[in-house]
Amino acid sequence: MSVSIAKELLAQASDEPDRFRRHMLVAAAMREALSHEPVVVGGTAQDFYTGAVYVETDLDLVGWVAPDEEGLLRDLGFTKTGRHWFHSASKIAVEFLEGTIAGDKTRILHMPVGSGSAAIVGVEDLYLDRIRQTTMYPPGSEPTEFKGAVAVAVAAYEDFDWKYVDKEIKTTEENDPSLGKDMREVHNRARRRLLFELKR
Amino acid sequence: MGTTQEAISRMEAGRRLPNVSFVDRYAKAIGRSIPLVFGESRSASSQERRRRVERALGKDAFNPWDRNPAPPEVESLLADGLTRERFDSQRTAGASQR
Repeated sequence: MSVSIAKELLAQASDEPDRFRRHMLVAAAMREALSHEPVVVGGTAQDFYTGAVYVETDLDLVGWVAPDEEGLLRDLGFTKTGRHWFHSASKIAVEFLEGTIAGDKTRILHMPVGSGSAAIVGVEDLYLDRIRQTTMYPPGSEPTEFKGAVAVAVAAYEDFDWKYVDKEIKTTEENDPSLGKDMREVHNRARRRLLFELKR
Repeated sequence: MGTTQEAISRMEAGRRLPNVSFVDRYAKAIGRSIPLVFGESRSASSQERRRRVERALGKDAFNPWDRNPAPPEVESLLADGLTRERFDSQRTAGASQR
């Protein structure tokens, strides 16, 4: 944790033309500024695994800002706007999703960027999150979340630990049969799409 | 090298998966060393990942304006020239190609 490195990373972000890399630099800056480790999830994580086709609107971080850290974020150039902390020099909006990361913390990746590094949710847990979110839509539908699951699977299937994915869904089937059944159905659909793509 | 021409042809064409002993004899027969690498990451490059997703879902699968961006997100998108019109025209072009 180093405020001076956080400042350096934010300065690098402000001069960075690439949108995805700018998000990563801000994530790395937050990691230096905050007392806990914020983990990149959502669109930026999806862009990381898919080669940036998603176009994230904000930087979703699992974590929180402690009351005594709000002043530090303001000193670093962030302003609180609704649910976001907005960094006007880099034009990046950061949203903190309170709580802890769902899934296996040992699968979190630490990617070097600029003079720091960003923590990113593991590819399998990102996929499972997209599958879980899809269950909130009518059966058989293909919302953005489902496309996100397919995108991650197609882009990075070699990196997947599919046994882990299956085990997590099985655990959900045992603990929450209704959600588990829906997750299995969405997962099977996403897998069929992946197999179709692999045969093309 | 103690094998048939047919077996060598099958291996060279990728129709037979040779064992390590076969590859060793083959390397000696052609007078060249053949490096074998195990455990190396097979991860696709960023460009390859992008190509795969675009092939599977099309170039217009993800439109940030569909996600009802909040004011700071709108400012962020517009700062990069990612206007609603740009994505709408991409979607129209994608639909006409399909």
